[in-house]
Amino acid sequence: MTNSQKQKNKSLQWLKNVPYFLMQVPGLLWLVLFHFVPIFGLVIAFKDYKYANGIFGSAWNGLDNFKTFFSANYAFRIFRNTIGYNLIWMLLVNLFLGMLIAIMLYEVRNKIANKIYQTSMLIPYFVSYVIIAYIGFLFLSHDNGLLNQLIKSFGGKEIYWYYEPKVWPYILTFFDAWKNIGMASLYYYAALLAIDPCLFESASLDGAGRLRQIWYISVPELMPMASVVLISKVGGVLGGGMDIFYQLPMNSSKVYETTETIATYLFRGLASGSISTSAAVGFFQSVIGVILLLITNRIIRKISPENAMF
Amino acid sequence: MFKKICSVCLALFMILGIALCTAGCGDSKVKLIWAGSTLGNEESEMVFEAFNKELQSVKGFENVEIDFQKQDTTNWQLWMASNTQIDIAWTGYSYDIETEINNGSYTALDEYITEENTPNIYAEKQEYSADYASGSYKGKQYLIPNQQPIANLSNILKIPVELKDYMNIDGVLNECHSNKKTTEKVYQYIDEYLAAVTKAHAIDTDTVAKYIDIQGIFKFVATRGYEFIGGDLTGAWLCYDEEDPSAKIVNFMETDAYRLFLKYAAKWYNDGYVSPNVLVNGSESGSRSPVLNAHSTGMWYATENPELGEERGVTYAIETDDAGNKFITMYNLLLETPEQDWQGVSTLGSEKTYLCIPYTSKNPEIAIKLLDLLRAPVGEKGNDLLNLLVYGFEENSKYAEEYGTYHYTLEGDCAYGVDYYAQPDSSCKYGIAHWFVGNVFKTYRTPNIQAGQGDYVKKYETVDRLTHKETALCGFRVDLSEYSNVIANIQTIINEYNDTLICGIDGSNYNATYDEMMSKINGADLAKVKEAVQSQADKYISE
Amino acid sequence: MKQNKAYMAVIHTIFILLTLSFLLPFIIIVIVSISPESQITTYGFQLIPQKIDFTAYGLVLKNAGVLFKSIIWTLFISATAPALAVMVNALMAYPLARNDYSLRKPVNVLMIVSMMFSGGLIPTYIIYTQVYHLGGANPMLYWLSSLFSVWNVILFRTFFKGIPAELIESATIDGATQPQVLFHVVAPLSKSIVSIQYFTSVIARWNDYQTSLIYYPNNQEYWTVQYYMQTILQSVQQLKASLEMQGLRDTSEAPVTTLKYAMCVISIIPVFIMFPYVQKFFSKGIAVGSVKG
Repeated sequence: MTNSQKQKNKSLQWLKNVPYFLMQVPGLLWLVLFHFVPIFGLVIAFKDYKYANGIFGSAWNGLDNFKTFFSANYAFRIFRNTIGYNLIWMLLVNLFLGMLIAIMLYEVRNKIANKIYQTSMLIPYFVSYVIIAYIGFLFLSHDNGLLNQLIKSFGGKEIYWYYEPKVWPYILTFFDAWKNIGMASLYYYAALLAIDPCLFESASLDGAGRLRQIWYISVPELMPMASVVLISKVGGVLGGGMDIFYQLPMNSSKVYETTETIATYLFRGLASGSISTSAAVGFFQSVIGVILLLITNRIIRKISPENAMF
Repeated sequence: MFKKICSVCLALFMILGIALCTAGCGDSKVKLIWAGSTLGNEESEMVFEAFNKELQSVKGFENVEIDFQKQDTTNWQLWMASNTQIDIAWTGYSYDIETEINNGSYTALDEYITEENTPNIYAEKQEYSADYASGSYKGKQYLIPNQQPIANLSNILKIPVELKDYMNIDGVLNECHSNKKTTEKVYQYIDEYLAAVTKAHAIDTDTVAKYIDIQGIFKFVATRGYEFIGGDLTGAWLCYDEEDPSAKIVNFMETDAYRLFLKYAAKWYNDGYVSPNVLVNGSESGSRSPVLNAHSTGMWYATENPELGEERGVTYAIETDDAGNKFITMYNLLLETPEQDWQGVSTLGSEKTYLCIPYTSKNPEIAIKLLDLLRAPVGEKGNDLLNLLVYGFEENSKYAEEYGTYHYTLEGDCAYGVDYYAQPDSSCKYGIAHWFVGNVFKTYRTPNIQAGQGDYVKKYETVDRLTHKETALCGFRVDLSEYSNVIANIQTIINEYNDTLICGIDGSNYNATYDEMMSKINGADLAKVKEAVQSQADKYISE
Repeated sequence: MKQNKAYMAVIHTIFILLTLSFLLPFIIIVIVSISPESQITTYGFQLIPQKIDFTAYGLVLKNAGVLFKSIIWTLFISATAPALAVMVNALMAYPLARNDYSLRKPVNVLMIVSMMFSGGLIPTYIIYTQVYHLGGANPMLYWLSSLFSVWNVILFRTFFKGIPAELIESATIDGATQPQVLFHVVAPLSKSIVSIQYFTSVIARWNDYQTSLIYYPNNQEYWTVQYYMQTILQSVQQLKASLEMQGLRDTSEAPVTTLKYAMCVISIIPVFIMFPYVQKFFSKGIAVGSVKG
């Protein structure tokens, strides 16, 4: 190729990018103006922030805010709980159960049944944990709760659920699944809908049973979505909402051992109202999240490159 | 082409610039933003408009205008962070005052409070010096207290009226009035009472619940005789025995009083007087009375109710039925005599409701003058403005005629006919809680504030208070800022174990749990903090 | 296609049990919202309430005029903001799914970084209100704050990537420009993902109260329904707190608990209304025959 031809190729190539770029302008503008401009606020994590001095006028205090948080005497416990719950829920609820329910739902041909099942699964997502906690209380109450009444009718001794730390990992996982299954399976279901039905027909003609068809056709179609979910949720493994850990055990101090996470600790225990310390914790969570995200992406790229995030 | 663009841009900039200038140069009115509990009542706009008109007829406020805004803790943080103009704001028990002061949220008011500048506030400061002291920090006055009928607090033991005959009232009162700390005999009386009511099947009825409120009893009965440094049962529960002249600082969990209570808490839990759901759902009484409860007097009801008979050391909680007859619902045993109420440490924010001038205020001098105006003596224009703000329009007043509506009828010094009982809410036509905007005693009463309460409090402040006994640390204000992390750590340990222990949930094994907690607390540098506070206290005593 | 009867029976049974477990709590919520407050606080939940009591709903409807205006305003936002958001997100995602876009990698990295790091509430508030002058008298934040979401862009991108390349190639060979490809080829195939995104956004806008709380607390005309109900709840709670401070037994039946449940019912009803309708757009598979030619 001559130089002028090469140049022509290059400019043709760049010309192709223009319509793409124009499409992205609104999104990019938003990102810059509404997300990246306020990001200077991250410096609060390293400053002794006082309102009167503003963000830029407050004094730097290095890593003091981080020290405050890490020297908490329950640091090990809250990290263990936060990471443990997030990891298990991500794998169990979002990945495994989400895909399972979507696959099962796909099998239901009856349109009305399908609508009823899916609508009812979505409801808990929109109910706040304050109310779910009360429903939990109806079941778990120590004297009149439904579970204890059942146990008593079999002649057993009632269990004081809110005073037993050991049962809460199971209870919390159950409620997290109950709340999120609807939404989690929704996107997998949409991915399944995109499969060409001819594939299933030709597979059954070749003699494959239904379960085989699911394993070889449906499941691979879900992998891109699953890897996306995995990569993005793994970045949030140090985060997590406060509601489920605070409301569901109804703030019972006897079960803090297995229900206290970073978020509840910040809410309950930290030296009062410190914006700087919360900012430091947030910064730490973000940094760890990015690292984990990059590692997971790397791993996925090695296994199946087309599913990697970037 | 390029030149064309330039000239167009230049023209645009000029127009923009002129527009901005003229916009800014327009008003000469001074606008004060008052953030508080405006609940957006139906007729709020009307009343605020009338208030502003009336204000502008007062000398010195001719071009001042007030804009009322809704405030809550989220908004507050954001306003302070973004330097949004707020000239007057409410602050109090839902705000951590020490943190706010350290963050620089409030303007120091000392330079503004002088006899000529703010005569009313200045006079009030002399008269209610303890209350104003609770709004000062490290020698500077930041907050102006909204006086409330808190006076002569005594801890009370509450018995439903249906069960009063089962309690040895004289025994309890004698024992408490002769001992500043709660002795074992008091718990034994309570024990007998519980046994008696259970035997008579008098509990778990339509009006009486099944369980006692053990957390309340702990808070007000077990802690008698100890004063807590650094505020309300926080600050790592550091305290001292009020009768101790050397003010030895201890952690409350170390004291005999605490362990004594734990013994009985465990017993009552085993005997079934404490709800099995106590950590989760409290005493499960709902709208029924707990079998036994405790609280503190003061606040909103006077300590004497002579119209229903007088018993020594007892007050009553009274309700009115539909026919207008009053009947007693609860017996409140006053566990302390006035002589037992000693003056102790000075706590920041103890008055619980204050007005402040944030640092974002553009006109602090005018703001404080307005607050001074609203604290004018009864009969003056400023006082009328205050009542206008709190209650709205009086029947047959000039506003009522002008706006075609009224909110209350004045009889004596009481505002009748307001469409709320205890406090205004968003469904009434108009109302702002008087403790949100000023000195409660300078506003008209509403029917739920009993007659003579203002005088009662005033007498307490001017006479009784001055004859109080003082503890060794009277007036002492501790500085815990260097130890906030240690204290937070100890506090989390306490938060985790305390409820279990005081509710007796571990039953007979409570000693093991207690030892576990104490070893953790000691491991969290309790000794260091105690030593630091002790040295501050010793220094204070020797001065 | 033959269906194994036993296999389907198992699946249906599982789903019926699941559906019951989801609906039962909702029924509890509805029953609590129409029970008398005093019964709930004293005796707890009872399947058949002592009497049907609409106090909670009555309280919400007390100021029917304000409520009605708030509902109209919220419906307006809930219908229009998600439409804008879906467009912006899809437009952002499409180039990222195309292999011939050179800026793919940098934009992806930018998005991931933005997802992980955020300035926090205070700096965001300062910028939005002091620099951009949004909030207060300017209602644009209701549309702007939810306009773009990295997560939604990633979902769109994943979906677009799954569309067979042949379909798009056949269109470009026929001379279509990229926007034309997007709107005429890709969009019709994306009905299911678009409708899901739209549905979740609509419900999120309907239930949103944070925007009103933070940016519009003093502008009642811009309050969303959830926030309006929160203010009612707050004032009832204040009433209860003051009774407690006075040491009076609370027989007022002021509906704090039942109001929370009534608010929950009101926020879920749109799900019941919208979702079955949204399912209509779930199209199965890709139209046979579009690749031919």
